[in-house]
Amino acid sequence: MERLKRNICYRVIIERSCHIVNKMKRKLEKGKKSIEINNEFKGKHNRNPKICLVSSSGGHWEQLKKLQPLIDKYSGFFITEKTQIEENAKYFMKQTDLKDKWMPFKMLYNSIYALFIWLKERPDFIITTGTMIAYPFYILSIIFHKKFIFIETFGRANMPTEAGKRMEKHTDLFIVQWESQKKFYKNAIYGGCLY
Amino acid sequence: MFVLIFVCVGSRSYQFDRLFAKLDKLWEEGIIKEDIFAQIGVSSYKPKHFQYKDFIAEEEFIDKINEAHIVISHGASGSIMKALNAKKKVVAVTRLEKYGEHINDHQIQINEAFAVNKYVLSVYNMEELGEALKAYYEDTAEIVPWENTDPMAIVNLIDNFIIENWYSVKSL
Repeated sequence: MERLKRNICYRVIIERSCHIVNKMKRKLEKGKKSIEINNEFKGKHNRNPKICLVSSSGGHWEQLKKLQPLIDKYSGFFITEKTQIEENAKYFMKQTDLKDKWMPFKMLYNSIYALFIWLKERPDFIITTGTMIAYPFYILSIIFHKKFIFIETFGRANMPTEAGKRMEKHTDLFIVQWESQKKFYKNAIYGGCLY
Repeated sequence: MFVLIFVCVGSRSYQFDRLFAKLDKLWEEGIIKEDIFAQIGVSSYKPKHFQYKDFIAEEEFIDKINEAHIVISHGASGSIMKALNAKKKVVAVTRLEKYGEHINDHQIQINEAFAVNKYVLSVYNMEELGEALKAYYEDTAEIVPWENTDPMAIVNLIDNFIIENWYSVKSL
C-alpha cells in the first residue's frame, strides 16, 4: 500500500513537470513571434511567393522593417532610399521629395532602376509603408498583375497622404494604423499599429 | 541616474537651426541643467553649450536613447516611437515649412496625433519648449505610457492576405 501511494505520488510529480516544461516550450515558441511555415501547397502555386518591401527613409522605413517576419516566412527583399545612415536593404533608390528641383531626374532614375529590380527579382507581392519612392513599383504591379499592399504611415492620424491618395485606386490591400484614417480611403481597413 | 537630454532631427537634408539656437538659450537661462547630446543633421547653427554630431549610426542612436531621460525629437514617427518604446519622456518639436525646415507642415499632424493621445509633449512654437521641459522636470506633465498590445496584428493581416491570394484555389 505504501509503495503504491509512493508510485502514484512520483507519477503525479513527473506528469506535472512534463506539463510545465511543455507549457514553457509553447511560451518560448510564442515569444519568438514567428509565423508557422505553411508547407502544404494545395492551391495555385507550388512555390513560396517573393515579397518586395519598399519605402522611403525615416519613419516609413522603421515601420517597414517590422514586416521582416514575412520575408523570413516566404522570401523577399527590402528597398529604401540612400541616406547618410547605413541601412540593411538590398537596393537603394535616390532620395528625393516634392520640393527637390532634381526630383524629375531622380524619379526617372528611380523608375528605370525599379524596372531593373523588377525584372531581376520578379516579386509577387509588393508592400509599402509609403511615399513616392514606391510609385514605380505601384505602376509595375498594375502592368504585371501583381498584388500591391499599401500601409498608411503611423505618422498621420487626421489627414490622407499624397502617396496614399495616388496609389489608392489599384491597391489590393489598404491598411491604416489609426481608426480615424479610414474615412479618407474607400477600401481601407484598420490593422493596428506596426511600432 | 540619467543626466542627459538626447536631441535628434532625422536623416533628411533640411536644417533645424531654430531648435538648436533655442536649446543654447535655455541652457544660458539655466532652465536646462543637464548635458545635451544632439544629432543636428545639416543645420548650419552650431551648438555652443553641448556636444553634437551631424548624423549618427543606428546603434549609437539606440545607445543615446537608452542613456537619456528626456528625448527631444523632431516630429517624425520613427524617432518618437524609438524613444517611446524605450520608455523615455519625449518632447516632439515641429519642423515648419515657413522656416525652410521641411517640404510641408506634415509634422504638425504627426505631433498632434501623439500629443492628443498624451504619449508626448509637443512643441509647435519654440517658446513652448522651456515649458515642456519644465513640466517633465517638475513631474507635472500629463503623460500616458505607450503600449502596443498586438504589434504583430498587421503582419498577420498581410500574411492571411498572402495565403488567401497565393495558395488557395478560387474555384472549389
